[in-house]
Formats: sequence, C-alpha cells, structure tokens
Amino acid sequence: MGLNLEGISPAEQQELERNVLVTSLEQVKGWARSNSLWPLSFGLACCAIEMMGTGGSHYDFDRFGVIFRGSPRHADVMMVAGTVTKKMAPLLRRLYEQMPEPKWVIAIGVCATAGGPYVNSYSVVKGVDQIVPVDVYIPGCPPSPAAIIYGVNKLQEKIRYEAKTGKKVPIENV
Amino acid sequence: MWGTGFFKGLGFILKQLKEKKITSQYPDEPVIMPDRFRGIQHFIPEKCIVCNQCAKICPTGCITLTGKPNPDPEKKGKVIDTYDINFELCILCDLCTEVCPTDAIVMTNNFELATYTRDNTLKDRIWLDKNNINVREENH
Repeated sequence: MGLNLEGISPAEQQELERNVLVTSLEQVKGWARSNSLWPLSFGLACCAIEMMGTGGSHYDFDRFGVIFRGSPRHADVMMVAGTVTKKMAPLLRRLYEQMPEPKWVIAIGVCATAGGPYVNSYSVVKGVDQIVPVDVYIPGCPPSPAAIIYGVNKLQEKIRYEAKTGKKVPIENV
Repeated sequence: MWGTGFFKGLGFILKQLKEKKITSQYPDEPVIMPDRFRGIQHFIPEKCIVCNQCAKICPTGCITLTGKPNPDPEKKGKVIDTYDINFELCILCDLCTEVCPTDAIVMTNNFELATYTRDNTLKDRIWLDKNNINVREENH
C-alpha cells in the first residue's frame, strides 16, 4: 500500500510537516499556555495603574489565569505598560531575554505602542517594537481595564490559533 | 477568650457570602461605560467643512486630512477627501471634538481596539464613519 507521497506540492509538504504528527499535542499546549499567562508586570508609567486596577477584584485578572510575577524567570508574557525611555530600553531587552520560551509581549498604551504624547521627545523610544517583538498592541491613553482584558483575550486567541494551525495569525482588516 | 476572633472573622465571611459579587464578568457581559468615557472618535464626512482646526490642535499631530473643492460649482468651500487618525498616537485628549465647529468629529464609547499590528491602528475616513455606535450625546 503506497502513500503516494510523490504527488504533493512543496506547500502541502510544509503543511504536513507542521501538522500531521503533533497537532493534538500542540493544541493541548496552546490551550494550557493561553490559560496560564503569567505576565512580568513591567509598569513604567500611568498605564501601570490601569494594569494594577485590572489585577484588582473588580476586573479580576485571575479569571484568565493571569497572575503577576516579579521575576522574568517565572513569566510567559511581558506587559509593557508605559513610556519606555532610551535609558530603560536595554534593561527591557535584557529582561525579555531572561524570560524562558515561549514568550509574548503586550504593549499597553500609546507610549509603548508608538511614543504617544512623547513622540517628539529626544529621550523616549518610539514604540517598544523597536526593542522586542510585540504580539498585541492596546491603544489608549491609558486603556481602560476592560480594554486591557480585551487585549489579553486577543493574545489568548492568537496563541490558540497558532497552536491549532501552525500559521501566523491573519492580519485582520479593520 | 480564646477563639472569639476566629468566630468573629467566620461570621463576617458568612455574611459576605450573601452579598452580590463585585467582579465584572467582562468578556461574557459587556461593560457599560459612562457617557463621558473617551473611546475612539466617530467622524461624519458630510458635516466636515475642512477647517483644519482638529489637525492643528492635536497635541501629537495624529490627525491628517485633505479636502477637495466642492463638486457642486454653485457652492463655495471644500469637502473632505481623506481623513486619517493615527490611533497609535492619539492620547484621547478630546480637543479635536471640542474644537470642531460643526460636530463632524465626536467621541464614542468603544474601547475594544487591541490589534496584532501597528498598521491596524491607523483609522481612515471609512472606518471612522462606520464607527457610529455608542456615540456621545453631548460634546461640549
């Protein structure tokens, strides 16, 4: 009984190599990872207040398995909340590199996304994606706790999608 | 007496069990924001008179707009051609809606704006026109 492996195109072959053997295991891993996101709380400015407010009992972050950690060795996701100055940037990069794989980054607020009100400043990094790869951007100055929860849910969706299909999450046209 | 504090605490806990839970069930139930909440702008192209005041007052310069002459030759003035808000820079100071003489740009309560890319935060005229739910009632 032949498997007829000659007739498949390179694109299909790539798909097979990604998916055939470990699909279910990857999905279980994605489910587990997305439901226990331990963030490194990287509060740098006023967005950190909203992030703390999300951790409080009114908008309970623990409902999604998000438990703040003080050490990068414990953390899966880095929540950059606030203005990243050029002096802070190398430290942010170092803390990112100290986090174990797999790791994700959420940029909370317009300062972390693009510089925000300090866009013309000499000392502010214009977007944290110049230093570390960012997965989810949450605009707002600062975003409300509900918007932060929405962003975390987007990241969970992304983790599950990428574990399920093995592809990058599609860029939605909104 | 030994144990009074324990029963006092236990009594408090039992009393609290009857109380309504304060945690908002956000992704399952929507959060109702107050009317003055600043979410993202709604733009009405028909009302715009291309006076450029919003672009001038914006502290971060995130609004860019262009106008074109009115297609109706009888009428004076301009009509809006493109209108972009670079929402990755918008600090929601609300000055654009305050300065607008015709209320062409108004604030809405929508806050679910998280994206996977920075490019998606650029909101153009069509997106801002469609964003017409939860518009703020009173703008000044």
